[in-house]
Amino acid sequence: MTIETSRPEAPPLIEVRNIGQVFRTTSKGEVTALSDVSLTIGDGEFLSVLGPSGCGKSTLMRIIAGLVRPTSGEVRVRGKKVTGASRDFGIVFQQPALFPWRSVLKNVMLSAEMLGLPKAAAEERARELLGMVGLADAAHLFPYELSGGMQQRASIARALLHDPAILMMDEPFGALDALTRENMGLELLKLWEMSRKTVVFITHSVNEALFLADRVLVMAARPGRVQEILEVKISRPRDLDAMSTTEFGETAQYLRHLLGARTGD
Amino acid sequence: MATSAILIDAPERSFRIWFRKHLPEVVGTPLLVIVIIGLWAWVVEAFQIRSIILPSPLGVWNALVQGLTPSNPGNFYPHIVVTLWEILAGFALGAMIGLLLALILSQLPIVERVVKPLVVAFQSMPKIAIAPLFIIWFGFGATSKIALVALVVFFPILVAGLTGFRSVDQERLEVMQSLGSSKWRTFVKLVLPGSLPFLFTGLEISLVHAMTATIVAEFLAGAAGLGVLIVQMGQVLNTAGVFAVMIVLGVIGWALVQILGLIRKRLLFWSIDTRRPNM
Repeated sequence: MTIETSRPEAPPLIEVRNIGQVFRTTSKGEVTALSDVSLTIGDGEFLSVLGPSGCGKSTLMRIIAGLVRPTSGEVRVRGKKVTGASRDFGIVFQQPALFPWRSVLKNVMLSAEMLGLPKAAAEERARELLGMVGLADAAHLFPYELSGGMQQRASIARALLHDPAILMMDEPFGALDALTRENMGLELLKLWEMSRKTVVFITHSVNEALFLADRVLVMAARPGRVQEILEVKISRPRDLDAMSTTEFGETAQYLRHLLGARTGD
Repeated sequence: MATSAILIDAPERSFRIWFRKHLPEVVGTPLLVIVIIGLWAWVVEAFQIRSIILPSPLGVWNALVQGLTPSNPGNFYPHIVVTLWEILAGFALGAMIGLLLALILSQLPIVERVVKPLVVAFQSMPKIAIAPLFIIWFGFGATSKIALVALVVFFPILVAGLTGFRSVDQERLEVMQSLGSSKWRTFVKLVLPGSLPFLFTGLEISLVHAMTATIVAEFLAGAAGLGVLIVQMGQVLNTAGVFAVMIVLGVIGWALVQILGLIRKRLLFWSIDTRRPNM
């Protein structure tokens, strides 16, 4: 069995240094969403962020991607401080968040429009990406004609169009049914193996986190903080059978214990 | 889209399906109209009702034909033009001002909170009551009517705009934000198209208000317009003429609502409200 790790010799692509985030609310006063979160993410790594709801994992993702400014600490990508949205990131949200008045193709090409990329090349790439996510024949359709899973595939294609180095995914399969969810996980792995992008994948499913990732970042809530970072030593490429191995089962059990009784996963 | 593809495949069959599905509207409604006209003719005949109280359907038809004959000096056309102009100009003006103010207020949350109660208070006031004042201010001509229509249209559009602009989905906003979009581009590409369902609901409500406001203002004062015509005919007890003008008004109203509905269908094919069957 080959053991793949996160290539420690490579310089980290993303450095998260002592991130703290405090929200001011009218009802509860100050709420600490994140407290002293530090980690590094390697180039080409698949990192799952696992934690109960309210542990600040979505906030952490938004801070890394430059959508939210942290109260304290900083994020660096290739040594450069993140100060706002950047082309380095493609983001897939919990909901597909497609624009319903645009065709699938036009949705995927949104970033090309916004970033001023040449149109013909962008369309070619959009069609190529739609092929990769299995939507080649759906380019001319509108989101309302697509199932939830197909919509989420389209939003993955949209996130990849401008060829970002890092793909941020915030519980992207959370709204899908269990079967679709497993398939999407498999396809995501294939996509990742082809493109070798760095992926930060947020989830509250132990199995999903474990199945996909090189490393699992386990977060605890109140305040949101890093509880443990676990290396996943399951060989790649992985298929759904990997989930039935004792190694997988033991690791999953360990993770569930870490998360405590609070998660019902 | 899907429906048009079916139509191309088997036009005749799909027509028959459509016909069967819409039987009540396609056959039933015209039948009901015929029954009502027949009943009307019978009542006038059976009770010997004088034509200045209720003219016969034929009398109304004759008045309508006369009014629509261009060679007839008393034809309706100049009045139709004036009334249509007042409705459309006022509608466009009110919608533009309402939309613009909604856009400005949506960028200034605190000002919005200061202004909003006032808008809501004004919205529940019957604005047609201001018509005599507008006639004093803007005169007997089209300007006073256009001003009234604009006022009546302005409030529903403002409220629809404010609601629509605020209804933007947070994750879609973040999609735009992650691409470094400016406020203006986010508005043009996301907020405005996303609020169109709200705006069209506002426009549809306003359109009916606009037509009512025009006619009421014309009742009060004016040299031309279908409302003026109704008052003039009423004064000489030309009841059949009044009915004929009402039919013209009905057709104009119906046509305007249909046109707006068609534009809505074109622009909002993606919206759940538009795709609901029988709409």
